[in-house]
Amino acid sequence: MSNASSSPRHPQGDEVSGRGRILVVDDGITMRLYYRSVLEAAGFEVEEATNGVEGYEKALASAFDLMIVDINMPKMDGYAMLRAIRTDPALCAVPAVTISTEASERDAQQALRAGANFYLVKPVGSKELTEVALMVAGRSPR
Amino acid sequence: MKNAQLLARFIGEARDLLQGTSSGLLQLDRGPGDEAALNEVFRGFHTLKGSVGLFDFPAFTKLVHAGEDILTAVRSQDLVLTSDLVDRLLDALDQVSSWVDHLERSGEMPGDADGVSREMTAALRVCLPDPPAGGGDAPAPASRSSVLCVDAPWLATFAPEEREAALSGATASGSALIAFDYLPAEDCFFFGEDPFALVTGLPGLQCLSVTPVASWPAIGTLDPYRCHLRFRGLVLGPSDAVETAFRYVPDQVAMAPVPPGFLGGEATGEGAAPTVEPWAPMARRILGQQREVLAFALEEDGRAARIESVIRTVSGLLATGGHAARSRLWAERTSAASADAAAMTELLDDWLAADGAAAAAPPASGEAVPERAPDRSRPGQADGASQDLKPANRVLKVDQAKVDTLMALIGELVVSKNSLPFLARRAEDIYGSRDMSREIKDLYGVIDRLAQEMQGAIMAVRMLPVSEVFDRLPRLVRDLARRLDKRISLRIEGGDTAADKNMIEVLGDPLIHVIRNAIDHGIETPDLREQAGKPPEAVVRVAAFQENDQVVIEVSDDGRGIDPAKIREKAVAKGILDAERAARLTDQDAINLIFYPGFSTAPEVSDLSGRGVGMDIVVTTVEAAGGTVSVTSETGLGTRVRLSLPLSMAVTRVMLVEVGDTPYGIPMDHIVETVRVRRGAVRHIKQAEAFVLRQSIVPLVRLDRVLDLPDRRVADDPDHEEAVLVVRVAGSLLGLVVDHFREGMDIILKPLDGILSSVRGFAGTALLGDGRVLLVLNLKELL
Amino acid sequence: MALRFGKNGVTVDGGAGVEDALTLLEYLQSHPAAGVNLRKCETLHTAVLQVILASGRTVSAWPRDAVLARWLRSVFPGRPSPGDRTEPGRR
Repeated sequence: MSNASSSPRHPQGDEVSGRGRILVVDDGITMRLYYRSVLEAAGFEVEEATNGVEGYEKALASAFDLMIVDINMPKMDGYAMLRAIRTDPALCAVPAVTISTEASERDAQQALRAGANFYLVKPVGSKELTEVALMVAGRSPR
Repeated sequence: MKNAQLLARFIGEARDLLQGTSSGLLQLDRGPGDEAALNEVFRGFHTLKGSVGLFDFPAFTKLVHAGEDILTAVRSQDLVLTSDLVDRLLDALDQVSSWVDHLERSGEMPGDADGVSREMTAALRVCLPDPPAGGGDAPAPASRSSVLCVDAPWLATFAPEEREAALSGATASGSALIAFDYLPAEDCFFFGEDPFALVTGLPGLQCLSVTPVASWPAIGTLDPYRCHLRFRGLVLGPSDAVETAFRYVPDQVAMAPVPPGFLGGEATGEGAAPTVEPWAPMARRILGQQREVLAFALEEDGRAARIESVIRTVSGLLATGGHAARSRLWAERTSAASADAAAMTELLDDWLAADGAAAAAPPASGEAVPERAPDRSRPGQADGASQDLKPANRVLKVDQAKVDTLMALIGELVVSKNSLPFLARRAEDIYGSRDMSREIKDLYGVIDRLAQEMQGAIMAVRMLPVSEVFDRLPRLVRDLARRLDKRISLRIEGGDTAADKNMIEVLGDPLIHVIRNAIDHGIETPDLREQAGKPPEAVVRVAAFQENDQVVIEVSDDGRGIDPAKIREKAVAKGILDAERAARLTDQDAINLIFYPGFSTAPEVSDLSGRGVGMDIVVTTVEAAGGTVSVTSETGLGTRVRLSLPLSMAVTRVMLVEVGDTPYGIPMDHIVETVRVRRGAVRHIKQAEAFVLRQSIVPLVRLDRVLDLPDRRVADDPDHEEAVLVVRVAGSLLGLVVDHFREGMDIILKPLDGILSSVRGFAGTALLGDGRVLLVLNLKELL
Repeated sequence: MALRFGKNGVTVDGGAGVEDALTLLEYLQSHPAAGVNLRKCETLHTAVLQVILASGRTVSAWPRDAVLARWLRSVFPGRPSPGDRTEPGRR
């Protein structure tokens, strides 16, 4: 229904090489494989973490252009991880997208409040995921 | 995306989850208050639901979703988990498990899955307190998005004057303006629905557009009993009134409030080209949510932390092309020292309104969402519980090949991590970014630590106690003693000392050989012992212990010891060295002669240890594994042989040197120090070169010559400083002249194989982080 | 039956229900030039509306009921209307 012409899926060639790094935090091994394959196909470098604690540690350990964070995870859930990230001066600028199975407005608000920049509901199609990743982390100046 | 691969991953994950979830359920059945178990079970269903959503298996999704809802209710204490309920959940898991088996076999769900799922889902859902009306609580994955994206093309559905009227209507009444998009089900007429009547009956309807879902078919092929229409419109709120109107068709309607400020009063006009790039729907959604984030930031006194992430997100989005002007504006607005949430919100509002509408906000949802309390799960608790489940010290049998694979992978990791210092250097040298270089180095530190820990962990798995070898000894000693008419008591100590299994394997033969030697040559017969005033029963002591990163095995006996005089005699007799030199040897050096190939001290070759192999074979074997052998002895009192091996042979530490632009690795244990020697200070002794290091003459060897590299004429500048690596080879010092020293690093040494295996002088190869192959020198062979 | 069929067109009188859709469709197919008179129409079922829209016929007279007339006017493409092209097909 949109006639918006700027399709973000076809960036100019010279910018492809500058694609960013994405940290995927999800306790589901299938979900991680899915994210990894979709995002790598779009040219991103993907790192995985299996819970909030690991996600936080990995976020601390190196620089990312985007974090994709599940909400319900063991040890430390997505909300707690995001809150931790946002109180850390080194990490507070990194954009974060939460992807959760919970579709209610309340969950979305809670995620945005905790520290997410964007909220998506599972299942997220590969096209949608690629689009979001490209828009937020595709060519962010680092 | 290879779907098969994803499915295979899912099948594995599902099985793990099913197992954990089932045992969690059984745990809950025994102790319903077990919060950790409850969380685990909930997460099992939850994760299954999330993962299966990637596939088109609605029957599967619905059943695990029902299970999750049950557990949500249990967690929020709206539902008591009875044994009956546990049974139903276990049944559901069994069913899911059989589906997983079917998926693995055929890649699809069985034909009866829908029916089975419907029944089991219903059986679960009846247990839920207060089932939501109309079952609308379980949105099928295929149902349309409940979030409507209101964008410019969408609003262009309505005539400008209508939009204006709607706006003024909203302003006048003070009500919210709500956009709706209603796509009736094709068969809705059969359910007595009349979408047009429903829509025109909406109180406060402002604009309406009715369009065909697809272009109209030829009139002759139109099925008048199927609905092909789509209804879109703007209606004055409140939103719950609109929701009520659509209450029977919630899955066919998407709604979003249109925030005040949209349309901006002036219509863009039909077909008028917008002056700025229109937003893609996803961009609009993203920007809209940034506004929300900023709103939270404002609530919390404009917390800078949140603003930073919004700046990054929006900057990234604007960089996707076509937004150059906005990008500049955004940079200006946010680079100001006082980038504040209010100013940013204003800019976002401008943009969102600019091409005709404002951000789509998700519809205000009136439904009561059961209180979810993810925060209640205390960190670490689930872990503790799952540990409790397992009996302590459970032994896992693992195929050795798997451990070896893991070891090899970690080896690769160790090698890969070595590329980071290269990268850091490049960042600094080529791209001039010290910060980046430092960041990479920091990162390297972290990865290095993790890799080491990981290596340690896997090493631990491979560790075996030396008793694996020691257990063979009593029998050996007893047999030998009887054949030689000697009385021997074997004492073993430190059998639980652990070492890498490779080392244990290496250790076996040399150890047996040393013990044979001791019994054969060292231990006297009982009568000889008594003559010497010793107890008739000799003692052979085998002790293992760890010393730094070495495992040490000492074999000592209280026999006659090694007589240096006899050794000298024999060495001279065998022509190994002349009498004059033999006389100059210290006693210890003389004793060391037993390691000389072919040397044997027994007057006659016994049938036991003298099968043409002497101590030299022990030394060769142990040194090949990176170990050392030493012997000490006191005549008449006994001999002690010390075998020292690295705990593991996986990683070799080398120092990189460069000769002729090629890196070579020198094993670290050879290296004494690195020095710079002025060319003028190099002494020439005939063809040979040497230099003075702390009052001793150290011979110089040019590595390029040893390696037969092409001769490179260097200017004969006496002030030129040579890079000299002082190494100790076979006990003596030597200076190796190289071009440059580089860093030390851990490598996984791969022995030369194939036709290269006969090349002398190289210990093997290793892959460098920058992709080059490193040749590691074997100095002993080379020099 | 709220439909009255003439040689040059069809008149909707009162409320047209879902059962009228097929009859109307058949009539319009056999009368390619016929227009639709909605002056006396009080309610129009979606199915009937759909047939008229799909046939592309002009409405010769709008209902006297102002509310119905307003929404019907906005629905028919006789006027500057939504630039809605072909939809990507329904799910």
